[in-house]
Amino acid sequence: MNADIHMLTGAYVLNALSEDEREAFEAHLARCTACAREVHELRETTARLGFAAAESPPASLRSRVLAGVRNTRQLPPDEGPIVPLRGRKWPLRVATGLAAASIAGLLALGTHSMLLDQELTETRQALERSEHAYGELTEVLTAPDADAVHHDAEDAAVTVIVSESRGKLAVIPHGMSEPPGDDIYQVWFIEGDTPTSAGLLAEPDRPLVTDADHPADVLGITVEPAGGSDAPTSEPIMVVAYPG
Amino acid sequence: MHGEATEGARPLSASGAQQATPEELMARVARGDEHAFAQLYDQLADRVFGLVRRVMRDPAQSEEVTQEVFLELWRTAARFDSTQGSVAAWSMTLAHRRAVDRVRSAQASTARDTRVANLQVDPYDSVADEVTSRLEHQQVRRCLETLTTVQHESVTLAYYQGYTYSEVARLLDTPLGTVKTRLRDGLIRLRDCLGVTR
Repeated sequence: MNADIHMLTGAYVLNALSEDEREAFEAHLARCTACAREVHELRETTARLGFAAAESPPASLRSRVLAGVRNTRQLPPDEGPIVPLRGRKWPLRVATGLAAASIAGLLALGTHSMLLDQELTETRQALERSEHAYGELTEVLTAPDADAVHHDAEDAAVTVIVSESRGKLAVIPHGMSEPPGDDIYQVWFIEGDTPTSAGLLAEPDRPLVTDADHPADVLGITVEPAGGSDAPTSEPIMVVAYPG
Repeated sequence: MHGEATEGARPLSASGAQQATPEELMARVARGDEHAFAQLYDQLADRVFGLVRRVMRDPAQSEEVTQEVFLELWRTAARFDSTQGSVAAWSMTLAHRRAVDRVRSAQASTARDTRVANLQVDPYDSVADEVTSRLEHQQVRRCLETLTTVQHESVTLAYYQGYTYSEVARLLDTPLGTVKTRLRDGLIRLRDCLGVTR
């Protein structure tokens, strides 16, 4: 465990970190059992500080909350894969498109903190409306055997999720910029030196779901002319280990 | 009251009889039980609202955020994982995070420096001042008093005022690293004093 980042448990539970530090710490938290235990204990501790500030809200709030509940659908239990992602850099359109269930599953990570993202609330209704549109993606995300790899580049990131039982592959880009002109991002299965197209990212912030029907050591993403290419015409801008 | 945080969360009804714990209620809420949710609200609303209001100040916005917190609890009840902590602590975590996020995004457009510069209240005493005779409050107050001044100031500025640790460092004119450390060791000392255990 990195001693310095471990010192941030206190600031983290107090929500006293900047957004970037919070993200970095949560990424660390996902891998650090000792930190997770400490965070848990310190949360119980800060809760006690919070109890000391108790103050009755107006009675009208109660009826508003209970009325809100009657109009709010609950999420099903979580059984999905655990992938360390944070919502902030997740493009809003992707978030809107994903089923609420799968986002929450993605963000669950064994801590609750991932559910906290403002975007989730803000897009909740849109999420529910478009839930069915991303059935395929949800299917991959929630598959019990889903395996994920998350790759961070300088300004962008990509998450790759594979479910053998579903035979599906999901490539979820985060923060990728528009390719120049009419160009388009193309995803490749790369086995040894041999690339085979896995499909196109129709838009730089929309996930690609396709059949996981080709062996691969890594996935590569290249910029290709409109319509895509039979073989890559440029060096990959990103290479991600193939999950599993 | 002692130890167990969940125990601290078990409220007494007017007759003194024990009510269902938040954990028991949450399990029912997860199955869509609105009545259980209403009870959960009754048990936690003062705490959630009080904390949100402490951070945000503005009563109308505090109500709004409190409502969001409870709807989030309702929505995600089936995902609640009791191995990750008590329902009460989780509710407070949600409440604090939302209140702080709201305050910070509102300030992103205004001069945040102004807020820091204008800080005049003696924030770490305000808790103690408002402490009632309730046992819980007394214990928190007693434990806060066991902290060093820097620990006490850092923790209460961050928690009750919603400051980032770098803002706390500027306010206290203390190096960043020191504040980082004090936040952690201050909370650890509080944890031990309050008898919070896993």
